[in-house]
Amino acid sequence: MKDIIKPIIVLASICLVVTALLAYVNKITAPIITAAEEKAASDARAEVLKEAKSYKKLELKKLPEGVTEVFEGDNNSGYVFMMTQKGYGGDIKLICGIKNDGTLEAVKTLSHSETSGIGSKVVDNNTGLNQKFAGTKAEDQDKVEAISGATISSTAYKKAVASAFEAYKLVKEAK
Amino acid sequence: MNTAQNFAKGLIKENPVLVLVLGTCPTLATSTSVINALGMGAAATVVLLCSNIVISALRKVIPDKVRIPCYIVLIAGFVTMVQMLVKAFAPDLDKSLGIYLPLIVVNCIILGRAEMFANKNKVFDSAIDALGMGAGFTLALFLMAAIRETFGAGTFCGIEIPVLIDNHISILTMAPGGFFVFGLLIAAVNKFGKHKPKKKDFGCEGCPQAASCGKTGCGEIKEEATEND
Amino acid sequence: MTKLIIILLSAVFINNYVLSRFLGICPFLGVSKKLDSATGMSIAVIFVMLMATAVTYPIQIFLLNPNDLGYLQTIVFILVIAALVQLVEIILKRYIPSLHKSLGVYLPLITTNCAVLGVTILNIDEGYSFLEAMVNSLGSGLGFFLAMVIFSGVRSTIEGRDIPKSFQGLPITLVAAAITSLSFLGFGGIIENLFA
Repeated sequence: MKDIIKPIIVLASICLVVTALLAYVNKITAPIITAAEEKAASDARAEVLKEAKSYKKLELKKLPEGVTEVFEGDNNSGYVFMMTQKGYGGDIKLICGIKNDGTLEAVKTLSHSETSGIGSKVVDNNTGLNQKFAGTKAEDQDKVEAISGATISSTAYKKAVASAFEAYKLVKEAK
Repeated sequence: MNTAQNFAKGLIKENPVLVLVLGTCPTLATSTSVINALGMGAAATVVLLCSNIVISALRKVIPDKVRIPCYIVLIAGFVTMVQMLVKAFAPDLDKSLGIYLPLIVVNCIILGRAEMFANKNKVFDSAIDALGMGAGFTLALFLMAAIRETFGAGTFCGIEIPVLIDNHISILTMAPGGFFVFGLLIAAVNKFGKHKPKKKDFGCEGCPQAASCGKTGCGEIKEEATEND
Repeated sequence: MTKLIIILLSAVFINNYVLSRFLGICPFLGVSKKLDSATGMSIAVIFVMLMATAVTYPIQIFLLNPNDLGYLQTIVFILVIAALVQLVEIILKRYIPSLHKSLGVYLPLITTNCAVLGVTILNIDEGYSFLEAMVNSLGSGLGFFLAMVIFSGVRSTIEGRDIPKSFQGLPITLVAAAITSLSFLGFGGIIENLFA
C-alpha cells in the first residue's frame, strides 16, 4: 500500500509547490511584462506618427486583410496601422503612420524572419523599402520599386503598405 | 573526483553538445548570432543549475517509480520561471529565442544530468556539475554562433567586421549552414580530441529513455559515434 | 479554405519542422538510417502530434486562458503529452497489439520530442483556430515524415562510401542533412504566390 500512496503524494506535492511558486513569480513579473509591452508598442507608434501625443484604439468591423490594429492619434494628426504579411521566411510585422492628408509618414519593421542579407535588406529600418515609402501617398505606391534579388520580401512589404492605405480609406469613409 | 575536475569535465572531456551530442535542437536553432547563443546558454544553465540542486536535494524523497514525472514537473517549473523573468527583464532576448525558450524543458541535457548525476550525488557536487555542463553547452553554442555569425552575416555580436560584411556567406546563418557547421565542429573534435569517450558516456545513455530507445534512434547514434574511436 | 491549404503546405515544405526549425533533430539523425524505422517513427509522430493538439488546444482555450493561467502552459502541456503517450501505448498494447508492435518502440521516444511540444505551443502562439491548429499539426507531422523518408534515402547512398576518418559517423550525417535542408530552401516563398 505504501508503495502506491507515497509516489502519488510526492508527485502531487511537487506539482503543488511548483505551481504555487510559479503563481508567485507570475504575480511579480506580469505587471512588468505588460508595462514593457505597452511601452514598446507606444514607442513604435510615436516613431511613425510624431505629431500625436496619445493614441486611441479604433474598433472597426471590417479591416482589409493583413491589417491587425488601427489607432487614431490625437489632435487630428492621423492614424497608425499595424500590419502582418507573410514574407519569404515567415510573418513580417510592420507598423506605419498615415497623416490626415493621406501621406504616409513612416513605416517600421517590428519583427521579421527574412533571410539575412537578402530579404532582410527589404525590411531593414535604416536602408530598406521604408526609405522609399516615407512621404508617399496611396497613388504613388506603384512607383516604389522592389529591391532586386528579394522580390518575394518586397512584394510582401508592398502588400502590407497597400493594405494600410486601404484601411486608411475605410477609416476615412467611416468618419 | 575533485571539484575542479568535476567542473572541467563538462567543458571539454564530456562536452554535452560536441562530445555527448545532446541538446542538438537548440544548438542548431539559436546559434545564428552570438548574442542569441549566449542568451540560450545562460537560460539553459540557470535551469540546469536549479533543477540539479533541487533534484539532488530531493533525491531521497522522490520515489523511483515516479522520478521522471517529478523531474519533468520541476524542470518545467524552472523553465517557466526563467521564461517569465526573461520576458520581464530582457524582452528582446525573449523575442529572438521565441519558441526555443519553453523548449528547454525537453532539452536532453537537463533531464540527462538529473538522471545521470543529480539523483546520485550530493547537492554541492550536482551544482558544480550543472555549472560545468552549462558552461560546456554555452561554449559549444558560442563556437557555433561565432563561426555562423562572423562568416554568415559578417558581424560579431552585432558589430560589423570590415571586409567580411561585404562578402558574407548568407547560407551559413540559414538552416543548412547550421547542420553544416555543426558537422564540421564534430569532425574537428573527432580529429583533434584526445579523449576517446567510453561507450557509457556517449549519446543517449544520459537520456532517461535510453532503455526504451536502445533499439532505435539512440542505439544507432551510439553505434556510429563509437565507430569514430 | 485557401488559408488552410497555405497552412498545410507551409508546414510541410517551408517551415519544415526538422529542416528549417530544427525541432525533432534527435530522431531525425538517429532513426533515419533505415527506411522502415524512419516510416514507423514518422507515423507515430504524426499520430501523437494530432492527438496532442486535439487535447492541449482546448485545455489552453477553455481552461488556462479564462483563468489567467497562461503561464502554466509549458508545464501543463508537457505533462499532458507525457500522460497521453503513456495512455496511447497502454491502449494499443491492449487492443491493437499488431500496431503496438510496429509503433510501440517509438512512442516513449516521442514524449520528450521537442517537435511535439513545439507544435502545440506554436499553435497557440500563432493564434490559430482549432481547425487551423489541427491542419498545422497534420502538416508538421507530414513534413517530419517527408524529411525522414528523403533523408533515409540520402543516408543509404552514403553507406559504405570512403569517407575521411574524422567525418565518419555523425559529421557526415550532418553534412548530408545540410544538403537535404538546402533543397528545402527552394520552397521558400512559393506557397504564398501559388494563390496570389
